[in-house]
Parts: sequence; C-alpha cells; structure tokens
Amino acid sequence: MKELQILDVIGGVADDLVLEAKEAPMMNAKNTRPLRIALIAAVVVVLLAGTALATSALWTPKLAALFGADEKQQQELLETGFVQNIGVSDSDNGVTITAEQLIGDANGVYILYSIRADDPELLSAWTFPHYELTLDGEPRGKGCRDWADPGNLYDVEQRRDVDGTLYFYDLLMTDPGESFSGKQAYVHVDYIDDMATDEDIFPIIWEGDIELSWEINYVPSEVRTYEIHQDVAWNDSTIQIESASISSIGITLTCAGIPTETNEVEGLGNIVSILDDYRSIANALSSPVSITLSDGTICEMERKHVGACKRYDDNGNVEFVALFAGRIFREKAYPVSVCYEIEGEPFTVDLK
Amino acid sequence: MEDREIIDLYWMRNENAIRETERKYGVYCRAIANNFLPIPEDQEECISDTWLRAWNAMPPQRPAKLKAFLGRITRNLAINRLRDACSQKRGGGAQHLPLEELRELTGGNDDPLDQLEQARMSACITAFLRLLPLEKRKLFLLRYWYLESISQISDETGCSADKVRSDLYRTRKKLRNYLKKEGFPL
Repeated sequence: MKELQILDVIGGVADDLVLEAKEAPMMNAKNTRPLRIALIAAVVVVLLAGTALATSALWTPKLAALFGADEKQQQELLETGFVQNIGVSDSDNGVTITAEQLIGDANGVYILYSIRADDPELLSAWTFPHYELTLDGEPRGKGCRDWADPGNLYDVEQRRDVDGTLYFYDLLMTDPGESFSGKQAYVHVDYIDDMATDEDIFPIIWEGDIELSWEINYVPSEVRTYEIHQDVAWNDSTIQIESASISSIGITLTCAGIPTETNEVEGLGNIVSILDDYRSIANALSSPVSITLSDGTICEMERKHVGACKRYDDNGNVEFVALFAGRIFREKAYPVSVCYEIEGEPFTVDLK
Repeated sequence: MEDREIIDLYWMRNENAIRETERKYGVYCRAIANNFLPIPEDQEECISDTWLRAWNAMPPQRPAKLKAFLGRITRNLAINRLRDACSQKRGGGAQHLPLEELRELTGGNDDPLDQLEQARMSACITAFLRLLPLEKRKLFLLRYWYLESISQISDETGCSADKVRSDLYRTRKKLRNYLKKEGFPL
C-alpha cells in the first residue's frame, strides 16, 4: 500500500541522524545553554539592583489603565509586595519580549509579559507566543494552546493592545504550603503564531529564540478557604461551586460540573468554538460584580480590570482565579460575600 | 562488548554473535518493533527475524554503525509485516501508525514511487533534516522514524505534548514545501 511507502522513504534517512535522534540530549534550555543563562543571570542581577533602587517606581500610565489602579493603589501594591517589578527583556529579529511584573498573592502569581515588535503590523489581533515556563526547573506553563493544563491563562480578553505592545499574563500556582520566595523563573519563547486566519493554520509570524530568567522573591499573603457547595444554573447545565479561596487581592472559585472538553485539534474552527463556549463562563466566574466586606461596605468591581484566569486541578475541577489588581482588602475587612453575574443573572457566594 | 568485536563474531560464524547482539541492542530493536507492531507475537518474530537477517548479512557486510544497521533491519521487517497484514486485511494493520500526519508528504498521486525516486526523496529528507535545529530534527525522527507516540516523545524529551505536536506540524509543512521545491509532485 502506498501509504506505507512514506515510512520506507523516511527509513532511508542517514544513519547518523537516526542515532542522533535517540542519543543526543534534548536542547534543554536550562542544561545546554549555560553561557547564555549566565549572561541572563548577570543581567538579572543588574536589573534587580536597579529595581531595588527604584522600588517606588510606579507602573506606566498604560499599565495602570490596564489594571485600573490609581497612583495610591499602585504605591501600596508595590510596598506590600503584591506587585514586583521584573523588567527582564530579550530581543530577537525585531521582537522584544519582556517579563514586566509579578502581581499576586498566595492564590497564585500572575506574571505579566509584554511583546513589542519593530513592525507593529506583525502583532495582529490574535497573536500568541509559544513559550515554556519553568519554576526551579519544573515545567509550569506550556504555551497558550495547551489551555487545559494547570497554571495557564487562556482568555483572549486579557490581551490588550496598548500602543503596539501586547500584554498578556500567565499564572504560576504554588503547590499547597509552598511559596514563591527565592524561586527561579525561566521562560523560553520560540515562536509567535498568528491565529487571525485559518487559511494556513497557525502561521508563524515570528520564529526565534528568546529566553528570560529571573528570581521570584515573593512572600505570599494569608489565604482563607471556605467550603461553598452551591449550585449555579448555566445554560442547560449546573455549575457546582465547591469552595472559594480568598486573600487580600484575589479570589479563586473551585467549580465542578463545567464542560471540560478540550479536543485535540489543529484546525482553528474547533478551538474557537470551544473557546467561545467557555469564555462566557470563565469571564463571569473570574470577574466579580461586587464584594461585600465584613464591615458592610459594598465594593463595586471594575470587571474589565479583573484578571480572568482558569486552571484545572487533579480531580478535573476547574478553578477560576480573579485578581483585584487595583485593590487590597485588609484583613479586618475581608469580604463576606461576592456577587457574580452569569448572562445577566446575579448570584452571590457567601463566605462564612 | 565493542561493536567491532560483535561484528568479528559474525564473521567468524560464532553464534555468540547473536547473544551479544541481543544483549547490547535487544532493548533498542524491541522498542522499534513495539512501536510498529501492535501484536506481541509479531514483535517477537520480528526480533528473531532481525537476528537471522543480521546473521545472513554479516559477512559480507561490515556495518559502520551496528546499532543503526540493526535498527533499520527491524524497522524494515516490521513495515513488511504491516504491509502483509494490510494486503491480507487481517488484524494488526497500520491503524495505529501516524500515516494521516504523513499524508501531506505522499501527494495526491496514487502511483508508488519507483526505487530511484524513493532513494532521492530519502536523500532530500536527510538534507532537509540537516537544516533543522537538533530539537526539531529529533522530534521528527522520534515520531516518524521510530514511530513513537506523542506522549512517549513528550516524556523522552521533556517537551509538552502540545509543543511536540505543533513542532511536528510545522516541520511537516516545511518539509512538504522543501520537497515540492525539489520537484516532487505533492
């Protein structure tokens, strides 16, 4: 049969390549690029030193607008350590990727990246970098298309085009009882896809090699977890909210009953249909409408400024993580209830 | 035992040659047979046939890379077995093979390549692979020479399954373009 002939053809590849495929070590960035890592580390030291001198440096106006944080809030976030500046960049062939900041708490830490291109046209509306994210040598994030994996953001609304620069987030999660303090984060970006068209699926608009490495000196805040066990109607199904975990600047809902189908597809169409189906629920459950504090204060949330993110746990539950980047809730005034809205229908999650 | 010594045993018609070959390269050849042939009996027969083929081939041959030589014999025997199974329409066919992924390299023409064209295409693929970075070359060959599954490759290389899949996709696209430029009717 003709189909098998292609295997014969590939079988004719030179011996040295065949053996190399089995014997040569993978070009693992951490192991095989010591010189480059050392150079990056040196840059990080310099940048960290710079950061230490400039701890009061606020976000750029565009970045502040992105998070909806005013100057006072930014200052407080920096001082309390909920936000840390990174500022590690690398460029390749007209594209610059920068790890801008860490924003987070013990629920998880968002890493904010930016992509700039010499040619702004390069970064179309649906542009995704392919990257591998590791923490202390352990893989944590695997690129935007691997959206079913933990520790990964997949929400197109999070990508805001600000003056020709794309910002996007990834979420690093800790294992229970861990903190991020002193850990080494490492990102390797090797190409950027343009998903704007399905004429040629995922055409590569930039192919290169950018590596970012830096130290995470982050001390997480306390997180309180509440058992919820509350059912919420969604379309023709029911979402079960199992628990809510809340800290000074974020809340994570753990839910079951969410459709978790993630077809393995190469065609854009299926990806979009899954995404569209999921996006409404992801945005709703990671974007509170308002929060009621223990002293009775009702805080209206600017939903567009809340970082929507989801991840799966080992049991197939889905966690929706909201980050109130511009706000800090003090311990004495921790929220007692959080109001959400799904397709115009409000519901309240009581934290007791 | 060094490869040269094993080959000497073959040339001396010493049956220890097969024992030493099995000891040194049994795992390697079995892994190849397992990837191609779903039925354990077929895999074992394929390995036995590999040793017999090696015995018959040396002398006169004195392979420069014994491991590759044996791996290639196993692979060819496994493909022949699959071909037989497919033509006889019995179980153990080629359903598990990544032929769908490779369809874009076989072209719309149903005529099989003659031996000369097949050899030329193999040479072109070798040339193309030499142009690739090691990582991408490795992924391609683990998938399409060794026929490893995506999850096997992911475990072996430390890359995510998504990265393996997307890298393979892009490499196939590039290879198709390369082969078209080389005049193959794809």
